[in-house]
Amino acid sequence: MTTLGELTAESPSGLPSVAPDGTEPKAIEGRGPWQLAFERLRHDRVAIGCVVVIVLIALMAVVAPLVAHLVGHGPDTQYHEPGSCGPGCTGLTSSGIPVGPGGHFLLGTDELGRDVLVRIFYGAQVSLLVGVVASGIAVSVGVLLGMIAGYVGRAVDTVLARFFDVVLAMPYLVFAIALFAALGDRGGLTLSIAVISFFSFASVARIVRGQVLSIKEKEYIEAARSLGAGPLRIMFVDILPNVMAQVIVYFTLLVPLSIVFEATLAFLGIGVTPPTPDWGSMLSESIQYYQVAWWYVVFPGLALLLTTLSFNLLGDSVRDAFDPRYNRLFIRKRRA
Amino acid sequence: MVSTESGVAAEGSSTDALVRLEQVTKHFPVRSGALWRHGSEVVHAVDKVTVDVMRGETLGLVGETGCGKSTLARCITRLVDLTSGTVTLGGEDISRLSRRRMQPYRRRMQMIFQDPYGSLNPRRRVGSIIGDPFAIHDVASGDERKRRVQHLMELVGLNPEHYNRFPSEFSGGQRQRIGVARALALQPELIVADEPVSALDVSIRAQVINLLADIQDEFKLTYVFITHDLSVVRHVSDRVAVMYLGQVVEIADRHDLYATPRHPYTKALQSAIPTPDPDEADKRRRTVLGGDVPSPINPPSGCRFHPRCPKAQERCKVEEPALEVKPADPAGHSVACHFPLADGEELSSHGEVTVIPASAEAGET
Repeated sequence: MTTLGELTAESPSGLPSVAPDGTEPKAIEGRGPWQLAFERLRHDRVAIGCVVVIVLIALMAVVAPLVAHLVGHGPDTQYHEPGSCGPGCTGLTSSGIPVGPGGHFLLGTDELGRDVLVRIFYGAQVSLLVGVVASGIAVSVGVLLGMIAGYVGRAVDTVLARFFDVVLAMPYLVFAIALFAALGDRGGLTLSIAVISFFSFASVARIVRGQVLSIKEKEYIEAARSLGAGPLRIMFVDILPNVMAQVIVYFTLLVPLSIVFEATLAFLGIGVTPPTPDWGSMLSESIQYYQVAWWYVVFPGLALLLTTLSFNLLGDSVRDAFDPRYNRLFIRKRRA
Repeated sequence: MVSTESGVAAEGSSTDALVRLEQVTKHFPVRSGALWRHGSEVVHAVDKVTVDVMRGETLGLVGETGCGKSTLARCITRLVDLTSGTVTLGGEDISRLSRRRMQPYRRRMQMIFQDPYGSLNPRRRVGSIIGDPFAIHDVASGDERKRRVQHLMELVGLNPEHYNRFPSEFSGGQRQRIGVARALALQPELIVADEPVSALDVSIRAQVINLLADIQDEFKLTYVFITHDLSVVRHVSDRVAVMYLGQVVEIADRHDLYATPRHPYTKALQSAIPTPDPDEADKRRRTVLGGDVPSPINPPSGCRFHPRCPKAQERCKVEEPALEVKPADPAGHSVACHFPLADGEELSSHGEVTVIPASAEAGET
């Protein structure tokens, strides 16, 4: 920092190196758009609440084995024999009906006498994994293709943009069912993630393409070209930071969509293979028992609802935080 | 502050030219139709412009909005590809080079842009923006780059401590200084300034113009200075080229151009310069041209100015005048007109528009 001081001292322009009011000059800290957005997010109670819920759900996924150990019930263990889970304990009544919430099974059991609580904890692993990984892939591919389409333009753009339209126009459920039917059970979770990413990237790509089309006409892109910057540098150094805000918002909104998509696939009996605990497949099976075992429907449904709701609300808050017009509204609200 | 060797530069031999434009032409195709692109119409943005820019001089380029000044600037810096013609920099033809082969020439010429808000990436820090040329041309990195960037910031009158700020935290004038610092980074020989002060507040303009003049002296820069503001161009230029509808209609030493304009369009432009002294303004007579600038898609035949020219005759409609030195003028003064104005000749009114005393429209420019 000594060079800094020297430079200022011999500055011919005579610009003061200390703020006019004599305060510490470092107090004037350059706040970028990211810092401003983060600052706004920090004051948004809904956003904070959602982050707390999401962190709790992530914790559920992490501590699932620990919970299984504490409760003493494995996620796939079937307690259909009386006494199989301890003296006088059973996962199924004598008539084969699931046991309700109580001392041994806090959230009851399912039709095979498995512990719903433990399975919900384990289900969080699948949901979050699919949600985050599939959205991550979709966003990465979408950003890359969208930037190429928008920046390169001409024939490349025509081909890619039509491709995005085709993907968006596909009946994705029919396609997914047909794909799983053709591949049998070989795909599993990986195939689910692949299918979800494939049907999600196109909307990201379209948004990014539109942004790039407008950004590439800006004078600072022309300035970069006049400096000799190549297309890759312009795309990743000059354009990418300008679309990142939208991309991040879209990512947070894509996560719940992917979770629901995965649950839908599981509900239809495709994707996750049966013994694996999964919210979607739990809901699917519980439907047959809702008259006798309400807990079997309600708790996995609640878990799914809370997760997607939190991600959705967080996505909205993130979008608002990046919106400069929102800032003024927000400040007015806080002062009032 | 304005270079005193203007006459020397103008009279220098053609071998001293840093940039030579020969028959530079740029046509933009006009796209029409929602589904299919049809029609072969083109906008004649720049048409057969031949100009030399001498080493060390400031060539002012003036003309109305839409006359092709900015396109010409982008032809020089190869931001658009020429339709035809050649641009040579230091004797080498750069008009057909690929992006990679263009790279060494990019270091020798830089551009300053009009919009201080649009020409700086809002998501990047100032240090990174000014350091861009170093990164792209692999000149300096790390601490060395930072040191050089801060030196540049200091040079253009910015506080080097603001290295980590974003463009939005600076005023318009400061932002234009950032643009100047970025253009200076690679120590170019030529700087093409596309309306560098038009977007600035009048009180800031002088500062930026003085900065540009100071760095010209310090680094022996050659400027192509584009503006529609005649008083600015008169202040900064050694030679001035007047453009109308994509063509250069008159080019001369600054003093010659203002003292003895030969082209009727130049004369009309000059009469539009506002005068700060009201008594002086009362005495002056403004020439108001009839009609509008014709569409550059279908430029008029012959002399492009003939539909609006008070002196136009039959010959002007058919024969395109060449840009040439007339017998009465010094060597550097060329004009493209069949009937150039004599010394002190006033333009008569054109069409129904009469000559209006300047005081009647004091508020207008």
